[in-house]
Amino acid sequence: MATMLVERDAPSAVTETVRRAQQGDVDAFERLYRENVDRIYALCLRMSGDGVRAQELTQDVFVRAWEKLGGFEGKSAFSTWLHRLAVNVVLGSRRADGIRVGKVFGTDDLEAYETPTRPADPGDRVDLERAIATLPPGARTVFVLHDVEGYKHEEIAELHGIAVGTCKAQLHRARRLLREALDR
Amino acid sequence: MNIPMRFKTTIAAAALLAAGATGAAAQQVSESRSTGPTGSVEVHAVNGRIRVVGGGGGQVQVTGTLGSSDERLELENDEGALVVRVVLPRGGHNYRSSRGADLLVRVPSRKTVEVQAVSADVDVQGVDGTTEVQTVSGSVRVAGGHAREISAASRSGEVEVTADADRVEAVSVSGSVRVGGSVRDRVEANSVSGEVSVTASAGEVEAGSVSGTVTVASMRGRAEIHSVSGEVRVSGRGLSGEFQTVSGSIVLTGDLARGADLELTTHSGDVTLQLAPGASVEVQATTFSGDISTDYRGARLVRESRREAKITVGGGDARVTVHTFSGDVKLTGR
Amino acid sequence: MTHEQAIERLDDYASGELPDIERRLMERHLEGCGACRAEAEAIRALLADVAALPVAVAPSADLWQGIAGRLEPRAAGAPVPVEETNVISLDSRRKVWQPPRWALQIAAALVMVVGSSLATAKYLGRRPAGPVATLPSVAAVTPAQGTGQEVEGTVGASGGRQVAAPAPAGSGQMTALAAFRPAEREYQQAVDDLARVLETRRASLAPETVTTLERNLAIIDAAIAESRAALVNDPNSRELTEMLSSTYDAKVQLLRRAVQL
Repeated sequence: MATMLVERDAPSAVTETVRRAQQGDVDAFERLYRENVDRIYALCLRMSGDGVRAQELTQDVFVRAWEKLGGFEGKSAFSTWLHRLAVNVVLGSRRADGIRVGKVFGTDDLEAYETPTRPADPGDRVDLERAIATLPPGARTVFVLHDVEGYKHEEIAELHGIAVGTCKAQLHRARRLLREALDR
Repeated sequence: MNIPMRFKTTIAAAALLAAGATGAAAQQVSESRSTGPTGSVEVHAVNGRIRVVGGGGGQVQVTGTLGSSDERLELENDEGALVVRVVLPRGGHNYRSSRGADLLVRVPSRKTVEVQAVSADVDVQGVDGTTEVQTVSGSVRVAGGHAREISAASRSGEVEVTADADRVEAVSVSGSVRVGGSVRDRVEANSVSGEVSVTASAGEVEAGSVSGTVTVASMRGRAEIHSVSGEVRVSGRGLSGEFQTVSGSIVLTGDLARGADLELTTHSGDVTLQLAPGASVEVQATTFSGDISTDYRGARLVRESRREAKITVGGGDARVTVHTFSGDVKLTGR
Repeated sequence: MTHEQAIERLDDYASGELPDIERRLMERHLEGCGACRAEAEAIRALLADVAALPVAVAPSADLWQGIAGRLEPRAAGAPVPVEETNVISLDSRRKVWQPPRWALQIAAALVMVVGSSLATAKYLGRRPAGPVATLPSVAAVTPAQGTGQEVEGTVGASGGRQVAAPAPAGSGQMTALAAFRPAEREYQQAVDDLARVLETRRASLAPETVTTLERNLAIIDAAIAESRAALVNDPNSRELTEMLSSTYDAKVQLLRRAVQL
């Protein structure tokens, strides 16, 4: 089992609030929720590209966090642990979502098949968030995890169950599509 | 016809020249790499046909032909995965003139196999490791192995999975989707305009199409089946779950076990329950403007209001709840 | 470093992920290659924009209600699973059926506003002993404002008292239709969001797929219109609101799948 994103905080990161939540205190858990929801929602939103889905995913993340809370030992900050759990929930949900064609394509000979998304009126500047939302799913997750959230290729590859080379190819594709969509 | 020798040579040379000019000369390939029994193998190709066969031995062998002389076969180790790639030259490659690669990839059967193609047809046989196949317009077939997790997807090609697995996910956008065999945990089978057919015996089934027919003949487990305009056809003794359409009809056939619990919802589709003799079912039906009726021998229909009726057969051991807006509801014999 | 090698490493270079030796070789290559320099610059510019994205985004609704209801009560000291660092197991998936979100929200709203005697009643369609105020029809856009305006269809509301619509300000049990309206707005919002994203992706879908999607969306819209028309005439029908809700679900589900194609 690889250890990634482990930050050695000084003492344990099991704060009082976390401890009480672990023991079943829903109010304490709500505090943890309020402190972290925006960060988690941002992750879910960008990884899924869909506001409604992101809200559902965010809720799923916190429900899962409640279930797994007992396993949090404070080796990393709570928000880091929660973040990793959120990534797992989002990736796991995509597997359950049915249509995944185009998830990860390794060969870059697919140039002919790319359809970069252009805004309806070429004069308009599509903002970056919208452009990310319109990336194909595989490229989008790799891009969000690597360029937005700062995960390393090795970590992302292991999470997806793909090769690092494939991961890099997806990142390249995402960056290229984004630059085309943003016209630069 | 008696052709002088020199003309024959000229014809032969001309034929070779012609082949060379279009780059259509197929290229034989044969490569192998030693490898351990586990780990993963990835195959990337654009068009043609890819077959992956699981077997014994400590190597990955790739044999077959490449579509044209400017294609190349690459095998490389990438972070523990063996990657088999058909490489096309950047720019200027004429996809249409090449019939694509025709490759047979033999792998140790416990390997995890991942295949990605654009228009190639993909056939995976006898692989016991996690299997994942994606193609855009090619067909996908996965069978004969004991992979615990199988994921097969195509945009316009047909997808067929025969499994002995824990989990299967099969998707096509416009092609048909078929899942058979045995799936211990969950089957997900979806299409947009293609037909979906799940005959696997499964713990849980999620099957849907938008306009295609959805047929589920699973003996047991929970099912979530949905369609907008496609017909939903279900048979399964121990089935429970929810079936929903908007305008597609719903036909439930056969037998329902004690404890089966089904909820059928449709807007304008007709709902038909075709039960075998000796059934024991209670149907609670609600509609806005549809008809609720039965001609099943021995059924008792009680009209509870203008829009609601309960039909009881035998001891009412299985429960079916039906909601329609304008669709008719009918309980009939087989 | 050859030009080909440089091209392959530009992405890593721009993210600062090239090992030292390769980075130096890359920099030397860039000194003499304008095309690679421009490319590296462009990637850097994109990454700079990305770095400027907000780390946190507030969702448009408060999600806590939808979470609180799903938390299983836990005893202290219950056995716990190991901290996970890998992809989730397949068992941890949402149950196949859950009460729709909008139902939970309505329940929460009603419990807050209405008296305790009603709080124990089911959240839709159950009439209290007294008269029921019927709120304006679905077609109405603006609610009745201020004083001196009688809400249409009000029957037997105590002493002809004005009822401020559509807020459930303690005026008594609302009709199933009225209770559904906030949920309907939410559905509409979801549909609009998804439809907008779908528009941008339309070009990447095969024409027959687009045709199938459009045809079926039209079927769903017709069904929604029929249900709503029926509901206007029978606003207390819980069955009809559930049917309408199911059809909205089908629409959102369809759009959601379409967007992911």
